[in-house]
Amino acid sequence: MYLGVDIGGTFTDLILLGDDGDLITTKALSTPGELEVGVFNAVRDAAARRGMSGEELLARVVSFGHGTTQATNAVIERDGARTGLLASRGFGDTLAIQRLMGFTAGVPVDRLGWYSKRRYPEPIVPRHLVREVRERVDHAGKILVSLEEGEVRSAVRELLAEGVQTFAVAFLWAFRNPEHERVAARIIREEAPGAYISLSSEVAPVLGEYERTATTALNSYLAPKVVSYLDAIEQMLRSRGFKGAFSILNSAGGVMPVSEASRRPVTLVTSGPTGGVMGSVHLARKLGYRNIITTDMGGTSFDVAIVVDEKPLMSTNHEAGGFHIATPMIEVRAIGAGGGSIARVVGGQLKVGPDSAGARPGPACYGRGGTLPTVTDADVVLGIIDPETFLGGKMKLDRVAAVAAIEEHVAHPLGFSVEEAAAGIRRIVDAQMADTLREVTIGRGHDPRDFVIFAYGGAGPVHCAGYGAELGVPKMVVPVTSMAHSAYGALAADLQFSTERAVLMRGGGGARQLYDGFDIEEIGRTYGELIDECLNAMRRAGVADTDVTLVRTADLRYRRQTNDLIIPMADELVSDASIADLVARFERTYEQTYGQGSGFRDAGIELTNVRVEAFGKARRPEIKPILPTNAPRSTRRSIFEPTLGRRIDCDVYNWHDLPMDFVASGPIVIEHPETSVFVAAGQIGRLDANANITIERQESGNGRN
Amino acid sequence: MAGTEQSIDPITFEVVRNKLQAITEEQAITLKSVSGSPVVTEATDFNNGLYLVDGSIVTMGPQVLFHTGTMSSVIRSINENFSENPGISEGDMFILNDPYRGAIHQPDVSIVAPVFHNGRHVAWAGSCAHQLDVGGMSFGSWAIGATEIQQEAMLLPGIKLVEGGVLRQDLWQMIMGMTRLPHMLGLDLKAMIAANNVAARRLVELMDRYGGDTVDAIMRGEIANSERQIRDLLRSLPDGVFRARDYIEHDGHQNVLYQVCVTATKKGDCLTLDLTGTSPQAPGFINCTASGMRGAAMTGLLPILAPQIRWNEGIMNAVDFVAPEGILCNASWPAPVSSGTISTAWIVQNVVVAALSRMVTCSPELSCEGQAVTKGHMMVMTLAGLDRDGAPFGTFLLDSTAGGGGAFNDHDGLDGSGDYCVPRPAIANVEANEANGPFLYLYRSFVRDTGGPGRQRGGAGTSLAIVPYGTPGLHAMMLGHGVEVPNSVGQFGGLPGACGRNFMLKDAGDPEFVAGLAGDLEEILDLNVEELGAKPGRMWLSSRDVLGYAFQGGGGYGDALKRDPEAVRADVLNGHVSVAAARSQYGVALSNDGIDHAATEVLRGEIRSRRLGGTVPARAAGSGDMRISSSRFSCDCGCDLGPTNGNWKEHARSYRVEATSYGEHIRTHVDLELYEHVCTECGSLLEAEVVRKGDAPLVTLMLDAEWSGDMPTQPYERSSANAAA
Repeated sequence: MYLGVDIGGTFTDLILLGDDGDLITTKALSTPGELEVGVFNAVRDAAARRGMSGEELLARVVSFGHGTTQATNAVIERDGARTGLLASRGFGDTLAIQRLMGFTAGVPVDRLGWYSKRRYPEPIVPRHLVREVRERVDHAGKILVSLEEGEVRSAVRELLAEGVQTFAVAFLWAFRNPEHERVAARIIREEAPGAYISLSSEVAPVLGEYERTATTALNSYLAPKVVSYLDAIEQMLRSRGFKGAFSILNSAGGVMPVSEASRRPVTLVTSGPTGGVMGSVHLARKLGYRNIITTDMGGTSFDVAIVVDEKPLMSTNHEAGGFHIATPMIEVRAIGAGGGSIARVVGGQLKVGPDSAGARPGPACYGRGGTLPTVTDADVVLGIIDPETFLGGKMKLDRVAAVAAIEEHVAHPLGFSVEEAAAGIRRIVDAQMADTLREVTIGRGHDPRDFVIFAYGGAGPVHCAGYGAELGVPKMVVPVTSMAHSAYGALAADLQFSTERAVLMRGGGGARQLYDGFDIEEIGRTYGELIDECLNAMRRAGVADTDVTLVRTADLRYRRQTNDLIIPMADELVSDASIADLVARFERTYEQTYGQGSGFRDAGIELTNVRVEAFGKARRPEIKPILPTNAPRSTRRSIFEPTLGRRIDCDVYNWHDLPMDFVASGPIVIEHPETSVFVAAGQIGRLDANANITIERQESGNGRN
Repeated sequence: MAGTEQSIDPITFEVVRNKLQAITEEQAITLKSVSGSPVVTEATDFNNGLYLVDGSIVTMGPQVLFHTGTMSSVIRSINENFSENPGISEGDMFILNDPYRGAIHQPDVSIVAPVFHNGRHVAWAGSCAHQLDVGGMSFGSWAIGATEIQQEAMLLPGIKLVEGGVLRQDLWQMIMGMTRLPHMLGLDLKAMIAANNVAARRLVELMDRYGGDTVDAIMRGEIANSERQIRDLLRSLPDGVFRARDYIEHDGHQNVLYQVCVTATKKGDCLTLDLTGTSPQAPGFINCTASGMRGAAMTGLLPILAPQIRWNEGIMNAVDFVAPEGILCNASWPAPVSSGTISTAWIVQNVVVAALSRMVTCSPELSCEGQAVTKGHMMVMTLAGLDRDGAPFGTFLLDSTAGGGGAFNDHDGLDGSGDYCVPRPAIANVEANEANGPFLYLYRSFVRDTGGPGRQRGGAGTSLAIVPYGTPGLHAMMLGHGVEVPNSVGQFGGLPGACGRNFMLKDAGDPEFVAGLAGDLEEILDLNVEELGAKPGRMWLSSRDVLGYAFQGGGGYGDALKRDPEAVRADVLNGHVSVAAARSQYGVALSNDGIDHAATEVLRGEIRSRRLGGTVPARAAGSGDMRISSSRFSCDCGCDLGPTNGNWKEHARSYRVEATSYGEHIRTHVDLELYEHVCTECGSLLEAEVVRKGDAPLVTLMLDAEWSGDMPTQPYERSSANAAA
């Protein structure tokens, strides 16, 4: 059997996949401080559903995948280790200057002009714990100024006297020549045996000293907390009879064993949202959708990722807690739109978000003291969410409070009925989300109409009918695993390890071949070394070389442009022909991304990084839902249908009761203990063979219109 | 206008309005993606937006704010001059860089495109980006030494580069023939064309879906909304007169001092910015035209008065300008203007920030937006020569944006803030610059004691030094200002941030030696560098010559003696304040264990006495700055400073101080002096002023007699950014 667990701020989600393909999801309250307790509670609930004790279940589990927000939280709450940083003399302020991007990191576009609100993030290494040492390497890796061991030693001693717990070393151009960083590491080990050390040449061997330093510093900053946490979970599992493989989902969408995760805790900073993306990727592959947009709409944010040809789009430029990190990760874009987004009238105009009532006080209908109307209040007023059955009836909602909030703050000021106002709130938030989806897809050169939307998170299934239609996609999918979708991602993900090296080669310009100037031998040699590193890591995780898939990619750009594109190498052998093919594909991808005629070959091109990703195939049983064969029972409920703009009686189904061939025309509501799926008028809802719900346009069936 | 606006339901209004903003964002993404220029991709020195047929701004991006309104004047100029001949038709695009026709200076090239819906001209889309070279007498088109605009750069008056959707090869090749970097310019012009195409297509789609009239009414409604909001806000402020003055040295020919003076008069819901009092135009390239002045003034205004209002024509409608012809910031043809943005326009921005900050401080709701001047100067460094592989090389180093931010009433300025005119700044990695060009950095780091001392400290500035590497040498060109003028002035007793500095170390040694020569500005200054002044101009650098510069820190806010000693200690720990400056500027005595509170009290008392000419203060100082209540100004200690419709400086003690008393980073031009205005009873510093020799101090703040509101006190709030770990 296979387990996947995702620990969120409020709930710990678990998914159990049996050898026969049957699926159980459970939800337990997270237990801050000792999260392993919440994990075992969720395990016990799942075990009980199969008539077993938690220990009996764990003994039969061969693989336990885990997505964690632990690293993310440590960054946000700034409770990492006291970290000391060694930097090249003259460049010790790199981490504080942040290329001047620290005070705009994560700031929405419409807030950028509000200067009195600008602040640098709290430092992860305060300036007095940075020590500069005299050394200098040039762009080609040549040592200009040699490192003096004595100077390093006294810097380390000073930092230890300051109470530093972990170390980071980030020298200029160290990814070209790591010698000085390695000497520094040896001296740190001598002075502080057992201290956690991160070297920039190992954690993020890429060009760009700020991002490399930030990534390295963050790695050491997070290490003690993340390592001890992972150890605690693993120990709990082992002590209760678990003998299988325990692996952690990283931000690149693969899992890695605890030993690897402990070496690179910084690669876990977006582990949480990545789970949902990977869950979608695996389901989509089964369903035959090659291009999807994943949308996770929760209480406060709307997280979006795009998957093209079954591969999530990656990027090497991310923000975490106001800092920028350079390891390749799945690109997840978040905007402040969710069930808790607040609606208000300003100067006669209705606005929704980006501020959110969050979980506390939450929407007015939660009855926790919130009085401002939110998107969820609108859904309750419209009748799309049933106040009696929300969260399987575990939390009764206060419809009267929702009506009062919308009446006071929206309907009355606009002179609308409460229901018209609620429909307006929904229309605005759905349009905003569609605008974001459009920007994300168009911005990467894709037509959103070529994509299928996957919707999950508490509010995704409630709203995808709206934002999907607004965007004009042919189909929306609410996955059967949507209530524990991130946990499913952790369960289903392949073992993954990636390694890269900056090369910086220039080609072309003038009348030459674009790749003239690339050192093809060196490219081949570098790929060879990277592959060895990957295979070694896979061997450490117990995967045989024959079970490993290797993906070679290279980052290319037109000279002087700042946006690299990640281009896969088609051939295993590096040769003139394969490099010519790589360059040709770069040019095609560039034009596809940025528009015809945008390529500028005359400027020449640059190869900046080469990368190898290794995947150890995860073998998982197919999901085989047990579906009823009798006709579904429905009740009828009066809702205010937002697209029709009037009240109508609509059928309400229970997801668990739906048979395999279920088809119904909207408007309908399909309820589930953890969410409600809304299918609007003019749309058709179906259940597919894997028990996912799909929503399509009524007239569709022959692709785009 | 109001009638059509009301007929659209607020839901549709909000949905369409968001889509207009999304179009502008998509336009920016396209421009940035296609452009290969670091000026666009890294320094975001571009802007784009949608405009009504008459040129009124509907939307604009959050990139370099100087471009605010530029394309609007560009469109107005094209409407005026070329509507008949050659005519404005579907599929056309016009290119303009003439500063006397709407551009700010020649390198800021605009391309604007009329948008047609069902055959009707319904709007304009426009893009503008700073170009690395548009020809003229110097690389980079910074025409040091020019005496007339004809020498400076190519001059495009709004020619039809794209006609009926077709790029005109004759004009294209003419333009490419006039630049030193045709690849770069070509890429950027294509980027602007692509961005305009995207915007036009999306706007037409939007009009197809919602109806042309509806979208048009919403665009106009957006403008009306912003105008209503800015007028409401102005109405909530006291009527009065708020002034500021700033200086610029060296006109490209001689080190002469010029001044820019603004009088902001607020009456009801109108604001007038009067630039009378500004020096006559200069014979060199530091002037700016009316469009540069307006762009710079709006740059100063928007983040202070309109951070929560959407930026469009509505805001411009509430602001009137008065500026005599032929002055430094409203130059007359053919005065040279190629460095206008980084020269006079910069100073216009500084004075508007200072004057409007004084204005908002009078309102409890808005006082948090008031600020000292952020990095009040600009330095340009271009490098050109042969690259390591022998190919031609040329670049414009953009690190000089890394100065310090002005302090606010309730928090310190940003250490490393970027320029005020750039809402989302970024500088390139040292490694990226070393990879792209044949030079090596010795250091790039903060400089201690560059943030203006104050109750809230100004942000620290940075410095760097480079040496040619892997090349026989490089042609360098350096120009700027603020080396002998402390432009980053403080507010309400805060001191100015550090001056900028340009320097060279000749024949410093072999690369292995030079690379380890100095780790920061303090160390390299110890090596007896040659100071280069504000505008060294063109220089040849051998591979043994080190060239370096330092950028202004931000101004402080409030009297530095009122700063929490704990915050000063944290500044010392993090290297932004020296122990000596803690003593001399903040009156804080530090020992090994931390703050010596008793000694600090004594020190602060001594400084206050010194300010009062040796007499012991009659009152204990308060914790805040100047106050207004019952139509009287007063010091926070309670001392009366006269009626709010009078000149409070007449009630203060005023005296001249030497620049050296503010530390080693403040220098004054031979024609400048520094004045301090202090409370006669407690010795608190109320204003530190930079004045041209022989001129009277400025009356900076004067309210109309009938205003009776109170100015809030400013209790000390320790910002979290100061917290020592």
